[in-house]
Formats: sequence, structure tokens, C-alpha cells
Amino acid sequence: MVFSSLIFLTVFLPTVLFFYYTVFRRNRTIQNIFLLIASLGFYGYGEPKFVFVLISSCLVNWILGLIIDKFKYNKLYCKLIIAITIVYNLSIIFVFKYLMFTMQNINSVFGTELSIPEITLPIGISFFTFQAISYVIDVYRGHGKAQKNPFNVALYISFFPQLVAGPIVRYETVSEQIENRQESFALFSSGVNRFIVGFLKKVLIANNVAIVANIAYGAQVQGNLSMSMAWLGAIAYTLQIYFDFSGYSDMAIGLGKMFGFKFKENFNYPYISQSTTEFWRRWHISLGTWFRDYVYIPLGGSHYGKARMYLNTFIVWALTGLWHGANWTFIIWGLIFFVSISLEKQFKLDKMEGHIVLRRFYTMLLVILGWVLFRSPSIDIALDYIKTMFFGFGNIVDYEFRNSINEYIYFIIIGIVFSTPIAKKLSKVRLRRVISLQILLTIAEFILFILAISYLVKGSYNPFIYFNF
Amino acid sequence: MKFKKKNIEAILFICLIFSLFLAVSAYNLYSIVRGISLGQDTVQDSSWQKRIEYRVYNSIPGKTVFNEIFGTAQKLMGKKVVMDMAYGSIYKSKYGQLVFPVNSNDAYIDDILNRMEILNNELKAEGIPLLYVQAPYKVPENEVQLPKNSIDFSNSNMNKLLAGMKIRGIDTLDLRDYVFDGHMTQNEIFYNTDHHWRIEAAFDATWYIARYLNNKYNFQINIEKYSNIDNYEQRTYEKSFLGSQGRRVGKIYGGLDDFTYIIPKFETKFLLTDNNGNESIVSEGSFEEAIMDKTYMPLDKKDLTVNRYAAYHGDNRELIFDNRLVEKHKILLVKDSFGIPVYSFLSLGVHETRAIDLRLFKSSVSEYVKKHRPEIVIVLYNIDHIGNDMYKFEGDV
Repeated sequence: MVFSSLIFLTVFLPTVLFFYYTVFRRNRTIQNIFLLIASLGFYGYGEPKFVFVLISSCLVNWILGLIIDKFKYNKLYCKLIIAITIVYNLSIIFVFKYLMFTMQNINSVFGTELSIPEITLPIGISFFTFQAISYVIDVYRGHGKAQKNPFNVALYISFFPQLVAGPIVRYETVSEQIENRQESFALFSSGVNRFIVGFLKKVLIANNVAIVANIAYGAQVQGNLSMSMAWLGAIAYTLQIYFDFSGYSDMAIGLGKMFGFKFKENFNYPYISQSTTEFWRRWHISLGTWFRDYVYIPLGGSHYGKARMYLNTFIVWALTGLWHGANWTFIIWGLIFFVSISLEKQFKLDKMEGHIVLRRFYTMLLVILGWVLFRSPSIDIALDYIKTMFFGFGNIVDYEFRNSINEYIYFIIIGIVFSTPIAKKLSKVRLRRVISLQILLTIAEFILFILAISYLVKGSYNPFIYFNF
Repeated sequence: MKFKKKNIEAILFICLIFSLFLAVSAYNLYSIVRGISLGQDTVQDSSWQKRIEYRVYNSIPGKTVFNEIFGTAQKLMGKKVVMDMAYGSIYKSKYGQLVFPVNSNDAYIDDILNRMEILNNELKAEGIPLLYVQAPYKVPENEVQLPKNSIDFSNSNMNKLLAGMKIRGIDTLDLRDYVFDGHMTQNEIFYNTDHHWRIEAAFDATWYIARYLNNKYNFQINIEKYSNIDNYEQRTYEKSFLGSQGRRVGKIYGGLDDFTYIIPKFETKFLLTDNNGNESIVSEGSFEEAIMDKTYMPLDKKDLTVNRYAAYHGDNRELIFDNRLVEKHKILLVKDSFGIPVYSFLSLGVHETRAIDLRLFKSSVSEYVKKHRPEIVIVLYNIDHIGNDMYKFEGDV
């Protein structure tokens, strides 16, 4: 089930809100159990058989959390349990996500003919597995208490707002909130507002610019991609992935607030970054900080000299790439950021002042080219696409380009404008003391929300990119 | 101030989603109690999730309002391609006409041709000719009307089908050759908001069919009846019709069509039998009295939801037009909705016109022919039925 669907909006969400705030209002434990059941239902609706993978992950990590809590003063035991935790969770993710890829590569490198099993990827496995690891490690580090009640751990791992596409909520962020959160109408209202913003990002912008990206990549498959369309497609995909993913994060954060949870931000206008280092501080923040705190720092971070720091950075970016998918395109994509971030660090480009336009241009160029690689099914296809972007002189402007501009120019312009903090700044402007622009924006927001529902009623193109991760 | 503003938005949000929830629940409950299908049956082969989503989609109230909101936004943005739940895309042609794209149906064409060949052989054995009449589709072959690079295979499908029939010795009459020969404009041939041809174009095509029957099969239909439109009253309701395509995008985006009923001024006398398989309803009187269905002829032109096209007696299992003032000829028309005005007008020049719709008529066509002995069997289809039961001439065996 996706948030931007009629069944979620008209059946699931009202039902959960109704029971949560009426029938189960007086008892936090029952509320949590109800949210857990709803979350498993939410997950099971899309992937019934994989509910058991999710439940077993919750159960095993709950037990590991209890054990590590019991032996928290015995370092050796703790390290052993941490090792078990990592092996167990990464095994799950390896089997479902990377086994086929690994075997394909073994066959190709060693010329073997190992039979490759067809394994379906459970939706959101990378997200809930990382949350599960976070639970045990945070308990070990004393950043959150071990839950005696397995339902609470299960709720933390499988809470439907963040279950299938993040943000990756750290246990330390919500450990207190699970039992002691404070719902209020102000928080609820803020959640509704955030949900609507995310919904608009997803349905009105991401889904429409996605069509342009699909046209471009489709044209490439058919061998008639023009230079202009290649650029337009790459820019459209750049907008799509941002509005798709940040829209989903907004909806998740908003839904969390509706039930009294406060999640951390996951995006902060990444496309205004002046370096790729800054970009990754603004893009998918929960993943970046997860890798920093659970991989980079435990590996030693920058404490053991430059060579070790670069090695650690390399590992983190290779893993970041791999986390996004079992394909060399993702690994290379991650490593490109390793190179750019390392160079920025080496030459202190990320701390340089001035040349803002040039730095933003460099950052966005790298990011856009990175997304081309990210979107392509293979490195060859990505290189071919990039070649057309720079050297496709044969057919510079074609009908596909003009037609896409005619049909989708508004979405592209709106996408570019709203990927900057301009709306946020405008909302603070006051007109004639009485009415703030924010009120007008709120009214516009609700009207656009109705328009977005009309897009759903019409059954418009509605994919979700980050479900695959 | 900030607090209140967000509260208002939250209250509106809650009101909206709970209203939709109540409406969807109530409608689903009602449909279950009354045994009404909400369209979930049409996706029977899909997953249970798809069926649930289809139920929810079909019980969303105020779809017309949502359509208008959606259509208005598309119009404001000047869009020529509009996304649609059922059809993927709806195109707006350069003449302002809405068009459903037709997919490539190569996979079904051989099967259809085999079925047509079997029917032809069975009819041949009875000494009865078979004529396949290809109704035109909204996309002409000789002019690019859709946004460039639109994906539509209607003409390609029709060409393959007709070529295959010729190879198999089945007589064909391609109405595209006539209706698109330039004597009518695109907007005169098709409604802007509906996939059907205009009643005027169907009337004109009936003359062409009748002439073909006279020339090729030695019929003696009085084609003078069709050649002078002055013999008919043309009752036009301006801006009164929002067709099937228009209903999907709203009247603001799609506009409204004028609708003209064509009714003979000359004396007519009919006995029309409408046999739904369980009972027969018999109507008697003039063309207007016996054939025209008044349900679809509201005087109030503001009633846009009425399918005025069905006024010529549409969507029936079996219809028998008995023209009491004409003595010659018996015709069987196996038809889709494009045939609705054709059988009505054709019946003006033929003594007995039978029309069956294979979506509802589930018996063998050749057995039916053996029983009723028409002089010719005409299969008149539009191209967007490929892949469904329309070619199941053997019936449910």
C-alpha cells in the first residue's frame, strides 16, 4: 500500500485514526499494539508472505536487545551479540537483496554455472533491517532502553509511516516516544500539514515529471534520444527522485506526528548544495547519519590517519551505493561520491567561500550525472545516455523534447522552484500586517490537495522509487 | 494565528478523508447487500489487492467533481495528453476531439480471423453470404491528428484484420474509405467527447452499406430513402451531450457536443421485438414510436449524463425490426455499439433486420442463422473490441 493511493487515504488512514483516537484512546499499550497490527496489515497488504520476515526480524532483534541489555557490563559478550546482530540482519538482507547479484558475479568472473534462484525483494527490507540494527546497537550504547515488551520493538521496526521507504528512524530518537509520547491537536495539525505537503510533492510533481523521465529513457531504448531530451530527461529524473522520496519522507513525518511521534528530518533542500559533501548532509539525512554513526565512526572515522580515513570513507560510500540496490550502477554511483567528497575534503572545497554559482553548478552537474547512472539498468546504458547528453549532436532538439516541454513545463518549473527554500521564505512574508502569505499558501495547499486526489481518482502514473531499496 | 491556521487545515483534512471513508464504506455495504458489482469482477484475474482497490475506486463519491477539477487543471496547462485509470492516456486531437488509444492486438488477430473463417464456412454451407463491415475509428489513417508520437494502433489493427479476411475469402467493406473521403469533416464524423460516430455519420454510412448490398448482393433496398436528408427531421440539442470520453475528463476540458436525432418524416410502421433472453418486449408504431428509446431523449439538454446515442435502441441482446411497409429482405447484423444507428436506419429499407450483440447473446450464430434464414449476415464492428467475446460466434458451448 502506498500513501498516495485512494485505499490508504479513504480506508486505511481514517480507520486507524478513528480507532486510535476513540476506542483505544485511554491505554497506551493497547494503542501501540493496535498500531503494530495496523502496520503489519499495511505491510501485508502489499507483501503478505513477507510479513513473516518482518515479524521474525522484530522477534530476533527484541531477544538480542534483551540479551545485550543483560550483559551490558560484559564487553566481550556485548561484542559477540553485536556481531550476531549484524550477521543475522545482514544475512536477511543479503539473501533477499544481494544473493542473486553475488551469484551472477561469481558466474561471470569464474565462468561457473551456479543456478541463480529467483528471489523477490521484500519491500522496504533495507529500511526495516537498518532500524532493527539500530535498536540493538542503541540499547548497547545506552541510547535507549531495552524493551521488555516485544510489541514495542515490533512497533518501532514496523511502524507503517516509515516502514517501507524511511526515513530510517533511529531507536534513540523514538525510544521514549513509544511509551511516553504526547499527542496534541497542534502536533496532529502540524502532521496533517506535513502529510499534505508530501502528498502534493509526490502526486503533483514527482508523478508528472516521472513521465518525462520515462519518455527520455524510453527514447534511449529505441535509439532515438536527442541531446535536448537527454538533458530534459535527466533533469526530470533529478526532480522526480527528490520529490518522490522527500515527499514520502514528508508524509511519513506527518503521519508520525498524527500519532504523536516526532521523527527527524530526512531532507533539507539538497539541490541548493554548494558541494557534494553538503549535498549528502541534506539528502537522505537518516541514511547518511546512520552510516556515519554505525559504520564510519565504529571503523575509526578520521582518528587513525588520512589513509585510514579514506579507506573508511570508501567503505561507507561503497556500502551506501550497495544499499540502494544490487547492481554495479549503484556501487559506482556511491563511489563517485566517495571520489568527489574525498577530493572536496582534500582540497577543502567544501569549506571554500565565494563562487557560489560555480559551486552549485558543479554540484548539480555531478548529482544529475549521478542520477543518470542511478536510473540506468547498466553502466553501459548510463554511459551511452551521458554521451548523448554531451555529444548527441545528430539530433539536438526533437519532437519528444518540444512535446515534453509543452505538456510538462509547468511541473518542471514548479519542481525546480520548490526544490529551493523559496516557498519557505515566501511563507514568512506578511502582506499588509493582517494576512500572512502562509495563510494563502495553506489555502492553496488544501485546494491542491483536492487536485492531487483528483489525479488519484483519474489513476495517474504513480510509482514509488524508494520502495525498491 | 499559526496554530489556528494549521488546525483549520487539519479539520478540513479530517472532514474530507472521513467523508470519503463513510461514503466508500456505505456504498460498499449497500453493494454487498444488494449484490451490485462495483466493477471488481472486471479485474477478476488480478490480485485480491487490485480487486479491493477497484472496489474502492468505484465507490469514491463525486467522481464527476474530481474529473472536472482534474480536467480544469489539464486545460489550464494546455495539456493534450491526459492520464486515465482505465485507458492509460486520453489524447486531445488537433480538432479538439478526445481519443482513447488502441493497443496493438497482433496476438488476437489470427484467432479472430480463424473464427471469422469458421463462421464464413458455416454460412457458406447454408448458402448465406457473410460481410464484415469495418466501422471507422476516431483516428484517420491519412492525417496526423493526435499529438505526435502518440501510441495508437487502431488503423494498423484494422488493416491487418481486413487483409487477413481478404486472404480467407471473407467479403469486407471498409467504411473508412467512405467516411474519410473528405465529404465530411472530422468533427462531422465523430463526437468530440464520445468514441462513437455521430448519428449523422452513421446515417450517411448506412446509405453506403445499403448501396453496397444492392450492388454486390443484388438487394433492392430503396437507397433514395437515405440519400435525401430532407426526408428526415433533424432534432438538434446544442451542447447537450457529454460522451464516454468527455465523462472521463470533464466538460471543462472536453467541452460538450451538439446531439442530433434523425427521425424520418415519411410514413413508417414498425414492430420491434426486444428479446433479452428471458422475455420479449414488443413495441409497435412509427419509427419514432417503436424504435426511438425516449429514455435517452430528454428534452432538458442540461442532463449531460444521458447517453443520447443509445436512443436508437442500444445494448440489447437481440432486436428484431419488422418493417411493415417494406416487403423485401432479411438481414442479420452482428454488431457492437457502432451498429446501433445503422440497424435502426437500415431497417427503414429492409423488411426484417435482426441485430444481435455477442456480449449478451451467448448462443451459436450459425444455429441462429439456420433458424431464421437471413439473406446475409453482416458483422459490423469497431476496432476496440479485439480480445473480448465479440468474435465468439460459436456461443458458450
